[in-house]
Amino acid sequence: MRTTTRRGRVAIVLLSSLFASVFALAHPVTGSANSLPYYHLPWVYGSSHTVSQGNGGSFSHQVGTQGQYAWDFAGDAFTVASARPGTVKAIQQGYGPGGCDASKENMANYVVVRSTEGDGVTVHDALYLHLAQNSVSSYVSMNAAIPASMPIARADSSGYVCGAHLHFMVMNPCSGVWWCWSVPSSFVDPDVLRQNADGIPRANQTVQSNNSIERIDAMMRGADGQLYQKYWRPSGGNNWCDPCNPVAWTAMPPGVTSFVSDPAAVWWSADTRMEVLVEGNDGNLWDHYEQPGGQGWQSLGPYPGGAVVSDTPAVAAPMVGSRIDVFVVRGGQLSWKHWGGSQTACWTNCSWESVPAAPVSLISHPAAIWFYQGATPTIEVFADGSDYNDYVIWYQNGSWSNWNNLGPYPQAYPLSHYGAGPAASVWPDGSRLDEYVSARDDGLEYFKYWTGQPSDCWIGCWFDVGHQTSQPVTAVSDPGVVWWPWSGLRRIDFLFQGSDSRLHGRYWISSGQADWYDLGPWPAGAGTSNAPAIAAWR
Amino acid sequence: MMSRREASRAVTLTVAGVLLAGCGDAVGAAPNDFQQSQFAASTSSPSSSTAATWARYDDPTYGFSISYPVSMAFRRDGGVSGTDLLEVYRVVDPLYLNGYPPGQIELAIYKRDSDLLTSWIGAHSGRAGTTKLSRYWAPPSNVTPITVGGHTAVMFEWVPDIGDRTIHAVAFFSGKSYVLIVEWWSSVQLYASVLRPIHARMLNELKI
Repeated sequence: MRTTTRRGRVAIVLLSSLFASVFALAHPVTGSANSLPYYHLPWVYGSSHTVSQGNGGSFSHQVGTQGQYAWDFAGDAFTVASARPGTVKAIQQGYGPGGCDASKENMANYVVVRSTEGDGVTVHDALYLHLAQNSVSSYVSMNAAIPASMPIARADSSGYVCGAHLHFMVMNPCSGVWWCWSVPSSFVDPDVLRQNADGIPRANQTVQSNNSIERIDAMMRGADGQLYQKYWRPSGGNNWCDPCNPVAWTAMPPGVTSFVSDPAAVWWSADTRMEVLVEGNDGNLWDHYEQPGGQGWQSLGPYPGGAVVSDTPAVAAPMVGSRIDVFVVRGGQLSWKHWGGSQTACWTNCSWESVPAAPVSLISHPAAIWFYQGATPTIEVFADGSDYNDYVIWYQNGSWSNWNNLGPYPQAYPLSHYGAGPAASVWPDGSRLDEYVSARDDGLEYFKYWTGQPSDCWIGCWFDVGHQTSQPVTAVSDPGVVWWPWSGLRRIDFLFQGSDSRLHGRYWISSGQADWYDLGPWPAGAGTSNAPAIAAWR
Repeated sequence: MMSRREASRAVTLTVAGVLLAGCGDAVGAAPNDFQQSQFAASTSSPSSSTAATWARYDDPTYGFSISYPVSMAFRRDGGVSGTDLLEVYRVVDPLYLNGYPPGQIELAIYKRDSDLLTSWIGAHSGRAGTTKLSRYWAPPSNVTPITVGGHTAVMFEWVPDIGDRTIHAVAFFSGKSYVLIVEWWSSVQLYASVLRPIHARMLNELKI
């Protein structure tokens, strides 16, 4: 058994200092100082821009004009990041740089993103205007769901501009056009709130963006059958670090004294809450929701077949849209229930829906991801087969595909077989899928990925990340994995229980940075071989 | 950045300045073939006293020559790649060279792809929600064939998609390859009374 190495401890220090330095600012989890629609500043975390024209500005935001509640943020060629999650409703990126000429006023590049307010009904459109020609990110396509904090384009000077800037404003949905009356809105970035209690930056103020993740939660089942939690958030006060111990998490659901499966977790943007699903010792699948201002349990009824078997569920939800899907493998086959969507929903205390039968019996818990492939909503579910091959099935346009065999699970020497549960993550545009497994024979982490390129490691391929990057300690659990935006970059973290009974993980950032880290002791004792679940609040 | 009150005062001052420099004799118009009343106040030929206050710009590339008040800056701003807007010149009070003007006169040169001006204007019109790069404006209003400075032209008005100003345009063919639009706009009523006669005189002295 390997223990935490010096390299691992260095990783701890680096990770801790990275979090401390990058996320030092106070940051409200959600909401704003007033009742206005709230957004993050529309550029990547940590950088600052000056308001060259504020609400009611005398140049083009005059009171009584459509742009009254707009802001101009000065700067050229900076990365514009989504200020809230939403659905892309308009894109124009064909125009070259403009100038201080009204002749060019209709030749502006823009992106419009529609977001739903907390009441689930009211929608607002955010307009990002004067973008650079052909700079819109590939995953920003019409009707695609995009998360907050993601780069969507580059600021420039397209259209009528007398000095490069980003024009940002919030509108009620326009009818067939990309521009209409702006409505009051505000920003929740701490630097804005420090200067303006109402969250409305004024002209000439320089404001720093805190546009990043709200919070990350890791959920673990301890040896005592209880759930424990570690969380990290930019505002600090978290217990993500080592030696911070996981905290016992919430009250048990009624009639449950312990959990018999590992948890599954997902951030459900439609309801602005985290959902954790886990099997209780009463044989029911329990759903816990947690959001600012409230939390609670609801029973989703008994597992298929009704017995208490200890089957870890999988859960997936889209970045936008009122839908959540949960999966379990019981009796070697996949079952499914969901809330929302156009089909007849089956959520609490109703029968499970069937999924096409797998060609072999499934011997692991499933992993599920929800994304948009282009504009097509897509669910993919992975599981290990009794032939020790990796199987996947997907759901699009109201129907399931056939099961597809992605090839054998990772096989170390001496060859042995096992039923390891996969974990999966996907970038919201579907441009990259990652599947992770902990190999039970060598205790190392493996992953495969798909980006649509011939060189992808996807079918019949695993990347031996544990061996190739000196995994500091062997894994005794299945992994949990999450994708999240990191300061304008894309980041994947996966976690697992180490043979030293500690929670370990590794991060990878699209800039190329990657390392292992150690997040401290596993809750309530060693030797549980329980898998963590991880979710990023958006 | 100027406050709104400061900007208003600056507009007032520059209105007076431009009137003194460029339009002091722009009354008592001589008859000509440009019949639109909105331009009629300044249709006289430049007198010797005004020649010194107006300059001329010759553009051999696009085949036109136009005069403008020397009190105003004549700036070449370039076209927009991805479109057939090839070049834009702005005639603006120097006070507003580093910010948003309350109004200005613009010369826009487009690639010609039609035999009739009205057809060309219509072909490049469309609703604001379309993403066609060859769409320059929403369907214009007051589209009127005219003759100005001896040239056949079409006058029209268009409102940018953001809807906060009306642009008063006159379009000409410049040879077989180009369309020249000479247009003015103002977001301040007082300033409109300055720009309108300057625009009219520029049209009358335009050579294509």
